[in-house]
Order: sequence, then C-alpha cells, then structure tokens
Amino acid sequence: MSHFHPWIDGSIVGLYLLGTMVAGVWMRRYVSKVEHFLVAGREMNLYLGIASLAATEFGIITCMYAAEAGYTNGFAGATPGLCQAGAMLVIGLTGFCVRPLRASGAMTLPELFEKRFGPRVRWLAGVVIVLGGLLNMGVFLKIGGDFLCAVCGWDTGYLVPVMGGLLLLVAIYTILGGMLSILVTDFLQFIIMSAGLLVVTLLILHQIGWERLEEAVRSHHGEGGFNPLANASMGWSYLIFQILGNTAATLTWQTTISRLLAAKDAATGQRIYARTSFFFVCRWLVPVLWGVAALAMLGPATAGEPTLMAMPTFLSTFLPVGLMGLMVAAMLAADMSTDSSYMLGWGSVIYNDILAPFRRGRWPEARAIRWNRCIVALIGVYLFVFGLMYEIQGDVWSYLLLSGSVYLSSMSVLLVACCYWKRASAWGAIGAIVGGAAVPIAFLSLEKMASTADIAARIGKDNAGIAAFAAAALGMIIGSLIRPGRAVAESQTPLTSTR
Amino acid sequence: MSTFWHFLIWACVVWYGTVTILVAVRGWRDIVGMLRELGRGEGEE
Repeated sequence: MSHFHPWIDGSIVGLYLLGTMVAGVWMRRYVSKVEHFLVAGREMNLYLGIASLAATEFGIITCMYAAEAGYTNGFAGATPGLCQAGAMLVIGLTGFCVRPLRASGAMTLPELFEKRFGPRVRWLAGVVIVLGGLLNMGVFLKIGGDFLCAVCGWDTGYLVPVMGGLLLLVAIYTILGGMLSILVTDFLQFIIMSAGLLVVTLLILHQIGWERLEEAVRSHHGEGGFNPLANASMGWSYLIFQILGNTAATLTWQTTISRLLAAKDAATGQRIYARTSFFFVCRWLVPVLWGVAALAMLGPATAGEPTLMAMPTFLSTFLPVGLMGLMVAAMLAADMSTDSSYMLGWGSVIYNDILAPFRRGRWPEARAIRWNRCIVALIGVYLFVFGLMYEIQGDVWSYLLLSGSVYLSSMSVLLVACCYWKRASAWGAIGAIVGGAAVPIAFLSLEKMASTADIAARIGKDNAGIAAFAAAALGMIIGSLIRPGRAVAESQTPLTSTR
Repeated sequence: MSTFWHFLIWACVVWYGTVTILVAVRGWRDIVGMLRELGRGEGEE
C-alpha cells in the first residue's frame, strides 16, 4: 500500500505544477526571434546554465535506469556517472571541441559541419541526430508513467491519462516560450528536484544505514558490486563503451551542447561544463543508492520479476506522507525539464538543418517561430504515441546508450575531425555517418528478430556499441584518404553563423 | 572499494547541497539579468 496521500501529497505536487506553468507561459512575451526560441538569445549565464544542464540531464528515466543498475550491480552500477563526470571535467577545462563549436556561432552541430563538409553532410547529420535522439527519447514517457503509478499506488490504467496530461503541460510552455521557458522552468525544477533527491538520500542513509546497504551489496553481488572489472555482467568491454559513449554524449548530445550554444560565450560554456561535471557522479550515485536500498529492504528479484520496478516499489512504502509529495514533485520536475529540453533539442535540428534545404532565403521571424512551435508539437505527439507502445529488451541504460550511439559514434567522430583534422572531407563524413549508424541499427534489428536474438545476445550491447565507434572512425579515415578535404586553409578561417 | 563508495556518497550529498543553495541564489540573478538584456534588445529594435 503506497503512502501517497491524495490531499497532502497531491497539494504539494499541484502547487509545483502551477508554479512551473505560470513561469513557463510567462516567458512567451520575451520570444520575438528564432534565436530567442532556440538558444535564449545566447544570454544564459553560468549559474542558470548549471541549473538547466543538471535539470535536463536528470529525468525519471535517469533515476529508473540508474536505480536498476544499483539493484542489479550494486555500487559498481554508478560507473557510467564517473565516466561522464571525468569526460565533462576534461572537456570543460581544455575546451576540447566545445570551444571551436561555441566560437563558430552555430545553433546546432550540423550547422557547424556544413562549414567544413558541405550542405549534404549537414542534412544527413541532421537526419541521423533526430533519428537517434527520437528513438532514444521514445521510451521516456512509459517508464516515467510506470514510476509514478508504482510510487503513488495507482492502477497502470492511469498511465496514459497521467503521462498524456504531463506531456501536454510540458508541450504548452515549450511551444510558447521555447528555450526561454525551458531555462526558467529548469531553474525551478532544479531546486525542487535537488531538494527531493537530497532529502530521500539522507533519509535512506539515516534509516537503513551504510552497514546494511554495504552488506546487501556484498552478500548479493560480492566484490563485483563495488568493482566493475570484477563484475561478471560488466568487465572491460562495458567500461570502454561507457568511456566512449559518455565522452561522445558530452561532446555531441544535442540537449547538452544546446546549453553550451546558449551560453554568453565560449568561456562561460566551458565553465558550465567544468562546474557541472561532479553533478554527473550524483546523477548516477544517488539513484544507485536508492536501488541498493531497494535490494537491502526487498531482497533480490525472483525470476521474471522486473528489476526496473524495485526502486519505486521500495519508495512507495518507505517514505512518509508529506515527503512522498516532495519526492513525486521532484521526479515530475526532473521529468518535465528533460522532456521539454529534448523536444526543443531535436526540434531545433529538424528546423535548422533538416528543413534548411527547403527554405529559400531567410524566413520572417514570426513564420520561423511558428514552424518551430509546430515541430515541437509534432514531437510531443510522437512521444505520446511511440512512448506508450515500445517495449525495451534488456536493461534500460544499455538500450539508451546503444540507440544513442546511432548518432553519438558518428557525430563525435565528425566533430573531432571537423575541429582538428585538416584532411577530413565530406566523403569521410558520409563514411562515418553510415558506419556509425549501420552497426547499432543492425544490432537492434538482430535483437528484435526471434531467429537472430541469440546471435545478438552473444555479441552483447557493449561490443556492438564499441564496434559502432570503430566503424565511424574507420569510415572517416578511409573516406577522407580516398578523397581528401580541400578546405585546409578554409577550415582555419573564423566560423560565423549562417542561419 | 567499499570505503571509496561510502566517501563518494557523502561527497555527493555535501557538494549537491552546496551547489543547490548557490544556484538557487545566483541562478535567480542570472534570470533577472537575462530578461533585462532581452527586454533592452527589444527596446532598441
């Protein structure tokens, strides 16, 4: 029986939703240009950037897959967080790729690629980014709904109206205010989310205690629960794929780099990266701790029992009335900030890059904003339909990283080559896109067909992910060597916006 | 390895708590500054 109280906890959640909607819709009055809608007029400063990046990168989906990793692998499940924090810190301190990217004035990655590889590569890169991103994002809604139904003790029949309603609220303020609404609501959502995460974590450490948590991990997972290299389901291929995938995500994931592109200048963008880096340890370790707490209190899952639902099942009876409302508000905040940024992030690539060849001349601002709003609305419809239908095979994080690597592998190779390899050419870029997309798509297809599912299981998601990066790099090298780029001098000229 | 995770969890709690307070105060100032700049840009046009 869930401790969620309809009046007490429901009022806390209602207040949060009301505050967010008022702030989000209020921002509409400041949107008069596409640049305001997509990158907030590039007026975002350091602390707002930290709040926005942190709120975007933590959704219910994050909490669920990280808690599942904690439940099934112990503290070693937080390894991806350490990899991403390390990548973020190094990139933030050195400016590797992100400094030339921000200095170029581009609003999306494909816009930068056009300057070096031409309009065809820009269009193709846009298509790959949107396909990979939407495939990745498609699972958010259902998992978020499962979480809310479990912690609130609702019947799963409520999943469609609850998540549909939540998506509608997010769509309203994102469509009206674009990035400006997202930044302001992200700020509120970051504070609510952080308060909820911290209170629940402190309560777990106080009520259950470190000794009991450690003992649960040791007895169920042994040394592998603390060390990823001693864990039978992890090992070196897991670690290498996590390092590659998380570094590529830091460099190219549209919702992450959109904060860099909305920053006042390259130096502010780098500082946002460096100072948010440790958040990525928290982003993993906090829910992993919740998953470990579920393991300590509920015990391991029996055969056929979904490990994903262990953490919400545990929280539904662990938290007292009042705190339950704060935790649900925190999770809603986390989910709404992620959904809004993702809708705008992929929408901006559709408008800026995929539709670019169909726009003759520069559109009037009002028309351009109207198109962007329509695109965001259509992504919302897709999210609702696809999100409630798709069933994931295996653990959620591996699916997300593999589907994300459809574009992470090729786009990261393109970005590095674009910034630092003078011989890189359009042929190499196309080779990298084809190679990087072919491997994960082939693997996901093998996994979905009953006759080939065994082959996919033997290969494993981690090896398939590493192969995607290798194929993208090979594609770039071979393509560029066959037909080298002509733009050695051109690539060294300052890059300017071509919107 | 257990000590490492124990230390890291408390580092997360302390860091996250501090950053939340810092961002709550200074992020608000950033919002006000951002809206002021955008409003000024509109006025100039």
